[in-house]
Amino acid sequence: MTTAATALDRAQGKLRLDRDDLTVRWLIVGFALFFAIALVIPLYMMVSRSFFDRNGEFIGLANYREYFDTPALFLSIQNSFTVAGISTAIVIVLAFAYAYALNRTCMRFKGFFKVIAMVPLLSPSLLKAIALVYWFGKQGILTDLLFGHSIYGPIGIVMASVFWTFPHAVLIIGTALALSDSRLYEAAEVLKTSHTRIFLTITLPGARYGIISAVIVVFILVLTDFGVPKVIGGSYNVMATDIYKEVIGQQNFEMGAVVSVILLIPAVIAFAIDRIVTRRSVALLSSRAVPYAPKPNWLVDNAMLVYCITIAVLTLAILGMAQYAALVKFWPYNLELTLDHYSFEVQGAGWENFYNSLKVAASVALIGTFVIFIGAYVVEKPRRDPVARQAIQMMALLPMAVPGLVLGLAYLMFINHPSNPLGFLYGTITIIVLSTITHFYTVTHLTAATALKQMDREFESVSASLKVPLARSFRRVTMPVCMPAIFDISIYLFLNSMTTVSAVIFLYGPGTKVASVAAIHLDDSGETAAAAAMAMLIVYACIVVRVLHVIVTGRLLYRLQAWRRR
Amino acid sequence: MTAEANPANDGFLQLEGVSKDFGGFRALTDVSFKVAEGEFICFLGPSGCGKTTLLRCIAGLETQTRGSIRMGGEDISWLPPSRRDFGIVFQSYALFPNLTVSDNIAYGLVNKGLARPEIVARVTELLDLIGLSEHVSKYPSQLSGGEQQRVALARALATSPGLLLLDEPLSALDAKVRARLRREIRAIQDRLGVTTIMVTHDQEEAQTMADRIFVMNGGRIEQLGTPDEIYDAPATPFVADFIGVMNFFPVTVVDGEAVTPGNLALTCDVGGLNPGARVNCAVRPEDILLVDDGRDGGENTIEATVSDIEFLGSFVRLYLEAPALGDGELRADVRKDLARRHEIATGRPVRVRIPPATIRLYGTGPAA
Ligand SMILES: Nc1ncnc2c1ncn2[C@@H]1O[C@H](COP(=O)(O)OP(=O)(O)OP(=O)(O)O)[C@@H](O)[C@H]1O
Ligand SMILES: [Mg+2]
Repeated sequence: MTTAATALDRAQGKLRLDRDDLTVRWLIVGFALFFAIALVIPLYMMVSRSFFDRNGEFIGLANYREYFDTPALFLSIQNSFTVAGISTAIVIVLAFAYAYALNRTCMRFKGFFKVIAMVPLLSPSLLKAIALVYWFGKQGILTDLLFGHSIYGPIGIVMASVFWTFPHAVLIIGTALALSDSRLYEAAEVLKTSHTRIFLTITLPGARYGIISAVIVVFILVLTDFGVPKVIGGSYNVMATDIYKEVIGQQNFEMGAVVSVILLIPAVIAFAIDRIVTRRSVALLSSRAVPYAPKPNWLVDNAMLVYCITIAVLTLAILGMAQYAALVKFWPYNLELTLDHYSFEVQGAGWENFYNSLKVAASVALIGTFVIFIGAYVVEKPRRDPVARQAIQMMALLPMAVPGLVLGLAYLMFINHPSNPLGFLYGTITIIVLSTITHFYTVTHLTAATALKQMDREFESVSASLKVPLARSFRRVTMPVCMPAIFDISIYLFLNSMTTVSAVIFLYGPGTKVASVAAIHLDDSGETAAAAAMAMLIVYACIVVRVLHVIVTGRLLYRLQAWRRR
Repeated sequence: MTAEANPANDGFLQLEGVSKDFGGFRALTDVSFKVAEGEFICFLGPSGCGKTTLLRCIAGLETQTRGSIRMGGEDISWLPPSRRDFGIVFQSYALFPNLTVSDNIAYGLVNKGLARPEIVARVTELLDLIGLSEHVSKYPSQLSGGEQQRVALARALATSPGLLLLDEPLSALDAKVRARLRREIRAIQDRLGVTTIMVTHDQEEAQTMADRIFVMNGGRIEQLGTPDEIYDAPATPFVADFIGVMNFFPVTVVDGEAVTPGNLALTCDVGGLNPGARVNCAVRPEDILLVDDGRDGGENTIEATVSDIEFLGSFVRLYLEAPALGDGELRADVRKDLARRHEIATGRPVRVRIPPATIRLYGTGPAA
């Protein structure tokens, strides 16, 4: 009816805004600009580029036709899906057992195994590939175990992918297994249900959303990963390496864009499924559930201990081998230990790369945490402008669906566009930092949003009634209460910025190459030991920062946040 | 009268035709009322009737779709919350968990440009008022629910607002604490004289605390009046049913009397109802009297059988089957000693009388 509509229009027109409402509006405008520059325009340019030829003529789907007519390229799709599928199947089984041991048994040394499982997060994916080369390569120690098969190819990709995605799967499945209702198990036991049947009818279904989510995440991680297939893929082409080859090798941006779009499609679909699944899993557990407390079971507990020790040994074997490789003079002929490989006397590599990595990671952690937390606040807390705030939220969720390599290529096209006034940013630390923040935006946004959601919805109303400006409440209450989440976000951003390869490999310029990219280049030019040394530098930095983080969160939070203790 | 506002006539707070739509759903319909300065008002009604929404509209936390809100003679309909003069206590209290009791109370004082000693003095004064002086440096999580509630109240009162809004402030507390805090809140309000609106769905709370009660149902105010008026002269069957306990049974109006389904003629005030009108007859359980055996009950005496007995402290509630009144059960509250004297037991036939003055007739039933 028109009367209702006009009444509403009148209401909107008369509504007076206070200073805080205006602040929020400016922030919304700011974030709209941020996402336009950091995400939407680059992606749009990349997608549209796939419909043009080299001379800028619109040719519709001709590039796509060419792509599907080129058997070598088309084969890559099949290869990508094959390795991603196999890796996912293996990782899910291994990670489920591991997470089960951590959450549902009385196994000893759980704390230790929890830490060990996360160790792979401290190194770039390519480090696992390099270590595997030393174990199983042409001159590897255990090469015979492959019975004549080569580690260079699908076997190597799958093995390295399993190692680097394992912690992600353990985290997701572990969360699902930790959320359980002991009352279900008590009910089952009262009914004298067998262990196998309990496992099949309660445990597995209870964790099914976590498992689905882990399947999706791992599949997409492997499908879009670049570091592993680049180092250990040999002649086995996958889509991620195709993009790199088309763009860097042949300067064929159009075909690079086509492959990117094709890679983007499954990622977007998978991400959409994951969002739906996650939302459902939250509703699954009632707030009155009683957490499950496992009972000792000698057989299961010890079997799990053996299993976890095995995984821990393998994890350390990978890291240890990478370290050993970085220290050995000339593998496998001269096994003397030396620090020579850390001097990086190779063209285009040096300690400078490591310092760049530190600069990028520190900037991303500082600026990114700040931006992302304020962004989540703008989405979650104000009362006005719900539509605009929802649009910001959708923008915040989008980066998750964009593979790093695709994002990097999109940035490259964006920044190189002749009419882009931001062109001067090409090859600067700034653009690397911006792309990295965008790349890891979604996960951190969700962490911040969850923390903000847990705060009383009426804090802002109380502040308004007491005439306290938004900025003050934000500083005085919101930030202190969300401090643990803020620390989590910053460490997540730091570690991922140190280890990521995909987005930045297209974006570095003279003097701004980061360590992970340098490691790829070193490996490319046959300097595998130096590549291992470079990757190990990343590991050291990550370990130091991680330990500092634990101390800071432990001590500082304890000292400053007395209110958390009762 | 001219259209010009006259604060003296308008009352302190005045709502006119306030409606609120959420999408297609109408949460408030045409709400109008005036509140005088210093009054204690309760919004009372069942869950989902729009009490919180109305309170939030007054606070500016929701914006009404239609209508106007005036306070102290000024039109505040379109002002943001930060420019309205009110203090608010939420059901969850919304105490800042990382601030101590005194910092919570001082929260709104700090940006008023007061000097440090003034703030300290004001906080001390408020702590005395709520009787929590020894808890100054505790954090909210270290306080009991009742203490947290009082801190929230002190925080809302710290800046001396002209209007105090309370949204179910006592509902999270257990019965004993609730009863004590009712009196405390009312005492503080009396002392400060601050105009107060409290939302509740507990009619006992409303009746013991409020100067006037606004009974709400389905987004409308059904009746506003003092607790006595609301109880003794409920304007609608909904109010009659919601406040206290009420018996309802259908009757037909015939010649100035109400005739029950069992053909018993009840003497009562039929007002302007036309003969032949089918209406509902409402009687409170405590108004029903037992008639001594062997004595003539006189008008409005009804034969019944006791089908159940409930012991409710100082009185007993009888569930009576009275064929004359139709299928429904009639509830009657009688003093314990009377019940004993009449040797009340289940299955026993009794006679009860309904004094004509206690009978009210409504055109519609309670479920309307
Ligand atoms: N933001 C909103 N969006 C849509 N509907 C809403 C919103 N807020 C309230 N409502 C609806 O308006 C109606 C009135 O809600 P309100 O919270 O005012 O009820 P209430 O009387 O306070 O109930 P309770 O005693 O349960 O707190 C409810 O049906 C509710 O579902
Ligand atoms: Mg409410």
